[in-house]
Amino acid sequence: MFTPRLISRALLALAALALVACGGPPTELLKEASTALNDAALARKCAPEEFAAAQAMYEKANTLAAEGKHGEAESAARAAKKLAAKAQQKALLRKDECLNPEGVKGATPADPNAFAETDPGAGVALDAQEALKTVYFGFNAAELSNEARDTLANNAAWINKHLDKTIIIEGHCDERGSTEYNLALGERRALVVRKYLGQLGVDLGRVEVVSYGEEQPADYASNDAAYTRNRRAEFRTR
Amino acid sequence: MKAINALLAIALALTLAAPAALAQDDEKKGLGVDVLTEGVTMISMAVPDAFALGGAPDTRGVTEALTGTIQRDLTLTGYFNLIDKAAFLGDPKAEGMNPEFKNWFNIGAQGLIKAGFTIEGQQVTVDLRLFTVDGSQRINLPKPFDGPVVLPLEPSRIRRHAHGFVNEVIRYYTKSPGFFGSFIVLVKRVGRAKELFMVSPDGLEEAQLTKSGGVNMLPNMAGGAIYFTSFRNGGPHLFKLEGGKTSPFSSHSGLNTGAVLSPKGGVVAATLSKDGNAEIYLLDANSGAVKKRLTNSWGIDTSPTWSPDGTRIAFVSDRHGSPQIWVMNADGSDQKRLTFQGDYNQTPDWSPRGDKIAFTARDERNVFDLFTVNVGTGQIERLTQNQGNNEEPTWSPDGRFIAFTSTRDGDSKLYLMTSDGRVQHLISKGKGSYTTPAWAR
Repeated sequence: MFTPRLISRALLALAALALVACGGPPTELLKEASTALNDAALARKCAPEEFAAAQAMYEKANTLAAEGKHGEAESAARAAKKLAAKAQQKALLRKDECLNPEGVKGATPADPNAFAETDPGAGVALDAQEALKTVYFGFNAAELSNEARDTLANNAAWINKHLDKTIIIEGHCDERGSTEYNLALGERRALVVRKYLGQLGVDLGRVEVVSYGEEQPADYASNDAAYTRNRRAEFRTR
Repeated sequence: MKAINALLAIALALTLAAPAALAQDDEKKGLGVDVLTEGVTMISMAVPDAFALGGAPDTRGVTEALTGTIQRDLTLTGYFNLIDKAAFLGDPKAEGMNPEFKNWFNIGAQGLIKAGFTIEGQQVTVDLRLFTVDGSQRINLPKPFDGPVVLPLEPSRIRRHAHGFVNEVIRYYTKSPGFFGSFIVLVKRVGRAKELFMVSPDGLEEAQLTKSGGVNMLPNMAGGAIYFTSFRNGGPHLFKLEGGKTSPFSSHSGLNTGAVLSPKGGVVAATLSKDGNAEIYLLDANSGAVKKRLTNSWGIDTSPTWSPDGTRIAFVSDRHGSPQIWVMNADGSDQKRLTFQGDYNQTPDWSPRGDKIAFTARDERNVFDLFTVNVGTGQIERLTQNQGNNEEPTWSPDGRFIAFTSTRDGDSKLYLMTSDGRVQHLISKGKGSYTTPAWAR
C-alpha cells in the first residue's frame, strides 16, 4: 500500500505549482545560455569540468523555468552563460596540450576545426568529434537548410580526407509527437544527410545511418531552444 | 510491495494462460450497450463503508480495500454518481446486510452496495451485495459474487475481488462488464533508461517488467506476449517477452518497431525499414520471419493498428506530405486515406467495437489533442481540449473507455476517459513520466 506517500508527494508538487510567481520564463536568456554552450564545443573536450558545470547550471535553469520559478531561472541562465564563456576561455588556453597531447606538431591557435583540416594524420578520433558538425532541422522536417549544406560540405571534405573511417550518421528528433513516427523521421533525416554526402562525392559504402528518434536528446529540457538543438543529425566515426 | 508482487503474478499468469482469457473477451463482445450517451443522467449509488460482521477488528485496511476500491472504480467509469455519506439516514452499519430501503430511497439512491467482512487469522470472509433501491431487492450476481467468499488477508487480493464485483455491477447496469482486473503496459523513464511497466486501470498497482538500463519502448500486449522495441542490441529492434523470458524477435538493418499482434493471432504488423524506408510488414508471430510487405511508398508508413476482426489495418502515412491516418486491408490492398484535417495526425488505435479509430493530432496552436475518426464516415470528434498535451490513446478492451497520456499537470501522466471525453480522471500514482500506454488485449 504505497499510495498515501505518493499522493502526499503529488499534493506537494501541486502546492509547489500553486506558489508559482507571475512573469514569463527567461526564454531569451535560456537561448543565449544554450548558444554559449554550443559555442563552447572546445571546452567539452579541453575543459570538461568547467563545461560540465556550465551544462549543469543550464539544466538547472531549465528545470527552474519549467517549475515556474522564473526569477531563479533567470539568474541560473545568466550564470550558465557566464560559466560557458569561462569554460571556453580556459579551453582555448589549454588547447595546444589538449588537442595535441604528445606535442608532435604545433596546432594553429585560431579555429579548432582548422586543426583536423590541416593535419589529417594526428589525433583523428578526437578531431572527428570537432570537425564533423551536427546539422539541424525544422519541426517534422528533413529538408537541408543552406546552413546545413555548408556544414555538410565541410564534413564531406573531412570524410574524404579520412578514408580509413566509417561514418555513422545518427538521426534525432525533439521529444514532441509520436514516439514511433519520430524513429522513422530520425532515419529520414539521417538518410537525407547521407544522400547529400553522396552528392558531394563521399563513398556511401563508408556511411551508415541509425535513428534514435526522440530517445537521445542533446538537451533534456522541454522548451523551444532544446527542441531546436534536438532536431538534428550527428556524426560518429569508427 | 505486496501489490507489486500481486500484479506480477497476474502478469505471469496471463502470459501463460492468455488464450482462455481472450476467448472469454470474444464472447463478451457485441453485448455492450451504453446506458450513457450525452445528457443521460448518471446512476445514483450509495456505497456505505464496509464493516466487520464479527471476528477480529479491521487492522489490515479491509474497509479501504473494499469500499475504497468500489467507490474509486465506480467513479472512474463516469456511469455513477456517488451519494455523499453525510446524507445517509441512520447508521448503515446498524441495519446490517439487509437494508431499510426507504432510508436509501429517501436520499435518492437508485442502487446500493453493502459490504461486510469477517477476519479470522490470515483469512477474511467478504460479502458484497448489490441492491436496487427502487425495486427494493437484492440483485443476483454471478459466481463468485453471489455470496460470501473466503480470501487471504491481503489488500491486493481483496481489491481484486472488489474489482471483479464492480465489473459485474457495471454489467448489470450496462449489459457489458467493466474493465477492472485488466491492465495497461507502458513506458516510464528510470534515470536515463526507459523501462516497460504494467499499471492497473485504477493506477494503484504498478510493476516494472524490464530492467535493461537501456531504452525500451512501444510495448504491445496481446495473446499472452508483450512485443516491444528496444535499443539493447544497437538499433531499434523488436523483442518478445513471454512467460518471463525476453527473446529477440526482429533485427533487420534499419528500423524494427512497434509490433502489434493480429486479433486472429498468427501474425504481427510492424514497421521495418530494411528495404529503404519505413514500411509496414506482416511478420510471423512466433518466429518474426517476414511474411508479407504491406506498404510501398516514398513516405513514412508506420504505427499499424488492427480492426477487431483482424481484416483491416489502420496506420500512419505521410506519403501525401503530412502524417495522416490511413486504412488498408490486412493483405495491403485498398489503401485509403481516412483523415484530411490538420497536418499531424498520429498514433491511431482502432476501437475493439470496430466503428472508430482514436488518434493524436497536433492542432494549429501546436498543441496535441485526442480525436476519434469514424471509419465508415470519416467524421471527426474531438475528445480533449485546453488541458496540456494529450497523446497516445488506447482503448479499453470493452471499447467504452480510452487511456492516454496528458501533460495537463506537468509531467506526462496516465489518464482515463469515457470514449466521448465527457469524464476524465488521472489514474497513475507514481512520479516520473508515463508514455505510450497500450491496453492489454
